[in-house]
Amino acid sequence: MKRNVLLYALAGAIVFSAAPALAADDCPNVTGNAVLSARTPEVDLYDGPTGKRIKTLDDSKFPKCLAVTQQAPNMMLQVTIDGQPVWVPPHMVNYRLLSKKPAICRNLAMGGDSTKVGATRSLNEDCPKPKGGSQ
Amino acid sequence: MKNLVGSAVAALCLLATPAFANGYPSSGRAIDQLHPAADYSDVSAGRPLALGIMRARANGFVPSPLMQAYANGVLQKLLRGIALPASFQPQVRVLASPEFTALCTPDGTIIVTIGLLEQLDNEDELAFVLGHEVSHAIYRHHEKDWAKKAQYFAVVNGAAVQGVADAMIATGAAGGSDVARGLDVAIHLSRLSANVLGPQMSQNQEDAADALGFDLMVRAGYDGEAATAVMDKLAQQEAEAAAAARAAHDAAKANKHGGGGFSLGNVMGAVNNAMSGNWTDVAIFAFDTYVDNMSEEAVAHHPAPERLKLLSNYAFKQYRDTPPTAPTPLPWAEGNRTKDGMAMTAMLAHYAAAENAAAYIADSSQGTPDSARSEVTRSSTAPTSDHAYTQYVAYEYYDKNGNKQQSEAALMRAANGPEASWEIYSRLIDLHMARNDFAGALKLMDQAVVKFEDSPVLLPKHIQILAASGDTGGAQALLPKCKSYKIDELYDACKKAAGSG
Repeated sequence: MKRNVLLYALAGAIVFSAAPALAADDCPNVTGNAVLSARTPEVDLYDGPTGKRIKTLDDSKFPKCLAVTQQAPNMMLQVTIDGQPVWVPPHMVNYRLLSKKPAICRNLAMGGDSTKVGATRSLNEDCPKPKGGSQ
Repeated sequence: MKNLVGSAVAALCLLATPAFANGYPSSGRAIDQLHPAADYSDVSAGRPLALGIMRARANGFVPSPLMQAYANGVLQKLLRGIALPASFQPQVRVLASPEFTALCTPDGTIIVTIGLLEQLDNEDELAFVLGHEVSHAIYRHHEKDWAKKAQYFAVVNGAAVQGVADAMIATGAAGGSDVARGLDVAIHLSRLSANVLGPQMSQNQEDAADALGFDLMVRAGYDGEAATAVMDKLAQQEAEAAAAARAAHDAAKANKHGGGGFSLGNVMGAVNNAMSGNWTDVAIFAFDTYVDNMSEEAVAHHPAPERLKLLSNYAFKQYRDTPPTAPTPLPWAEGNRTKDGMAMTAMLAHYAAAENAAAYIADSSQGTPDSARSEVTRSSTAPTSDHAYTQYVAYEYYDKNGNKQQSEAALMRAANGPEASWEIYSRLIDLHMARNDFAGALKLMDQAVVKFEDSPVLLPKHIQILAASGDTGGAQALLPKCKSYKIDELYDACKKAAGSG
């Protein structure tokens, strides 16, 4: 499957050109997903993924290298600031999402079979395999 | 080719919207400064030709009225309340192609691929993609000669695919397994490039479309962070693609200037260590063509991380007070048990199975014979039993296994379906010609000429049939038509097909 992804990626290069690689030493002390720094001049903090804005921090006061403790379906990122779990909009911060999001196991099963199988590529490769065949 | 691209880039720079810095409004929202054209009749009139060009690519459109209606519903939601003239009639079509990409033709036809739909996580992401693409049409970003350039890409890549296909037929089993495998990979690469190549937008135009697309989606109630998610997906693809493209291009360049024997295995080995072996000149040509096109087309595009930076800044300035919302699930999201949702899910599952089988056909390390057989069988049944994409994969699978009857049956199922692709017609014509059934081949060609709006992509094959049937006069008579498109690669292919190249 990796090779397949590469073939598609090659084709994708026609449409989408080079992206800068993430620096390997960004927040080395935080393993896993991290909010690296503020992206916008101010960062709004929310009390939930679709909650209320509870605080705003100037970019200079926004802490660097925060571990992401949760990621919501709408991409909002939960971090802990001053001991308090808060949610930040991803467009306001630079972040690193090393691990893949949980596999999206779409209900691609057929004919009433409730087995969930994934689509072909990276998003779903962790999904259960269909009965009697391979994904 | 380089001149064409250079001219295109220069022309696009001249067309950039002057009131927008970096494509974004210098202040305020793009939607509040939107002044659509009073009339889009001129570009709307080009829809049949645009659809013909798109239909001749990849494996054509996905014949799913349900999927199309769903996507069009999202598009209508985005445009509700926007003052656009009646002559602007945008629509969404789904292309049977595995890449993560979308584009818009000048008439407002938005093309999204199956590969894109598979990788979107929610409707909000689809809304941003559609909003971005329709913005190109609203702004009339396309060049006047878009169709000509689009045909150029279709012809060049169609010729590469056909060249490798012809070589595969010519070498057959005598070519040896490495040669066959090399050709197979080359044809898949060429086909992929043919799927996605097309005239590109300038950076400013991409930015302008990002801004208006974002406005449209938020205005329609979608969550703006979905745009961030789409940009992340693009960036991920770019990072992988850039590394692979650099390695492939460097290796191809070294071959061109290094002298000595060429090993496509070295090129592919740089891309993926799994590949090795010395392959034929035809595969080299096809691969070189592919790499050249790839590197040239990548020049003008705007990297997703840069686009995300600009978009974030725009959202910060213009939408700070818009609260985050929960995303709308896609109909094929897990847990959706509605009739329509299940139907679309089933269709996507079949395309996924076909893609996996195609991966195995290109590289047998990506599966097992049992899994491939199972996936081909599955994807060949309803609701995709007559879809060009799934049946083309079935054709390749059975052909590779020497089951000529089943392979032709797969092509016939697709040919009798609602959206037979040019590749389906082309392979069927090859089969008729192999049996010296030139009347049958010409009959199929006549159908194709109508179906694909007399696309120049068809010309070399048309000439090939006529020449092979002994109608050299008829073959020669089509050469001026080939020349009239002013595409060197097309004229060369036509002359070669007529036996005079």
